[in-house]
Amino acid sequence: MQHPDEGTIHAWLDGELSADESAALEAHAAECSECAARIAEARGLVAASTRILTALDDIPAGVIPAATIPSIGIARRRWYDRTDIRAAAALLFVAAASLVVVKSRNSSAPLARTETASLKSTAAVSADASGAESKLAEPPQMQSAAAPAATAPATSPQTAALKAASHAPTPPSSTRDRRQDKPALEKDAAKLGIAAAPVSVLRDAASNAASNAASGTVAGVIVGAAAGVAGGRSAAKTSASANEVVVTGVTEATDAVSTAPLRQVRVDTRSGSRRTVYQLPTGVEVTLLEAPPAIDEKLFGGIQPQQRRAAETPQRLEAAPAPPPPVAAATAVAPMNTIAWTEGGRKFTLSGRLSTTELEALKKRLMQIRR
Amino acid sequence: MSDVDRLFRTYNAALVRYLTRRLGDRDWAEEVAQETFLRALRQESLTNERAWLFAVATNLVRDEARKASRQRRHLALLAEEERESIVEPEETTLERAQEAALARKAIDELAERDRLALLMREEGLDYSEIAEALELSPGSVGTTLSRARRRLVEAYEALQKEREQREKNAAS
Repeated sequence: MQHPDEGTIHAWLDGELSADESAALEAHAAECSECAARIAEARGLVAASTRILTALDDIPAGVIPAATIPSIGIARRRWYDRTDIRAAAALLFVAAASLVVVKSRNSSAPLARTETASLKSTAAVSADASGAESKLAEPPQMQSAAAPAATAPATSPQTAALKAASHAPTPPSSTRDRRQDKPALEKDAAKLGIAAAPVSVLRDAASNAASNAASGTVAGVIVGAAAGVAGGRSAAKTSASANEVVVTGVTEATDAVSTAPLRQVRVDTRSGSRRTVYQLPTGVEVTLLEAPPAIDEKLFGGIQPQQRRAAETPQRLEAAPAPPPPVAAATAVAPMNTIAWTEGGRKFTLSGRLSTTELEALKKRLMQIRR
Repeated sequence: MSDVDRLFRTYNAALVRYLTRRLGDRDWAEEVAQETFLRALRQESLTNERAWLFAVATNLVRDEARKASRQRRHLALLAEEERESIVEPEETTLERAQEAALARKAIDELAERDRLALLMREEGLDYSEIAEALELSPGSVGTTLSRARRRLVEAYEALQKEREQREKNAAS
């Protein structure tokens, strides 16, 4: 099924599609951020209509809630979930890790050159948020630069690659299997004693190349949960000492999200709504849906159609009880998430294959762009 | 007579609610519902009862509405507004009356077919029943409903905003 039309979406929500048709729609929505957003909007319309029509019944005293309770559907974030606090925490991790790295480096006896490289790279990471982004380009370049030699003098190719990477336009990298990354990453992180921030999306553009090129060097900047940023998983695998791995938190990723160039793919305006699809350098698409003023407070997730009650249950939008269609979690492909908010009386939803934290970071950026 | 009893028990509430929402007048709604059941009596048998009842009720509304639509609507609106202006001791009641008035205006902005389809859907009729009652193609019901819902919500929100603006102006 390609891009179901509005009628089909509503028919699905009303439980009127056949099992096959439903499956096709759900499968499509798992792949298409735009349609995921449209489905979320349609759900809101269905719920709001029911609510409005209920007001027409002259039921006496206290049955109908006078106003939608504002807290329903609005994410109540724990204080430490705030993006800026996470950013600070992650930076602290990086700083701490850098210290550990430096210290352990001094104690072991690595090549002097690689030390410099490692310090440079970690410094680059902690200092420059967009270093996460440059890691994106790094693996491909590192691959060509240093693939053959396992013990290539890591400094030059690496720092050269790093330099090149920072200048190179970040190419959209395709999705790679990130399953390998995660266990290694967490294992290394554990050795470091640093908790790896949850990695929701990690794409490794060239883990082999990266590990080859970086053997003996640090530059183990793992961009955790980068918004589709290829994991510059340089030293994770082959580096002799695990404490060379620096694990950055989610916020590096969200920093990447905040600074990666966004490309506007298409805009669609119909009956007052505005639907914009953006593409991140990594190829991930997100859809920003802007609806006419306050369609419904209760934009909710939930898999099944005709779950009107589902609106009451999800406590936090961020918890992403499920993106509209059912998606297998913890697979190589990131699940589709949707966040929703109100600003200036207008309803927005943002969907895409990113973690909800990344979506939140993107949201800030997109809202600024819009102004 | 047990058959009409059964019909009545099963469908009257939904029919009256449907009609009340459509007409904005409960008394009138109950009259039409009654007439609908009387007509059902005259039928030998009904294959698709619910669709048939809603179709007949709808047609009755259409016919009568044509006769007196503008006057009735005007009077209904006046009644609503008067209700609005009464200061109720209980805040809930006032608010609900306001919401009802807004909803009334909003739903009146819909095209008749869209409005009816949506109201039927709210009473639990499935797409085939709605198609039958309104003489629509089953494939078009989804589109009709999607359009109806969107327009209803947009109209409602616009009216809400208008009111908020009025209240703001009044306060200042």
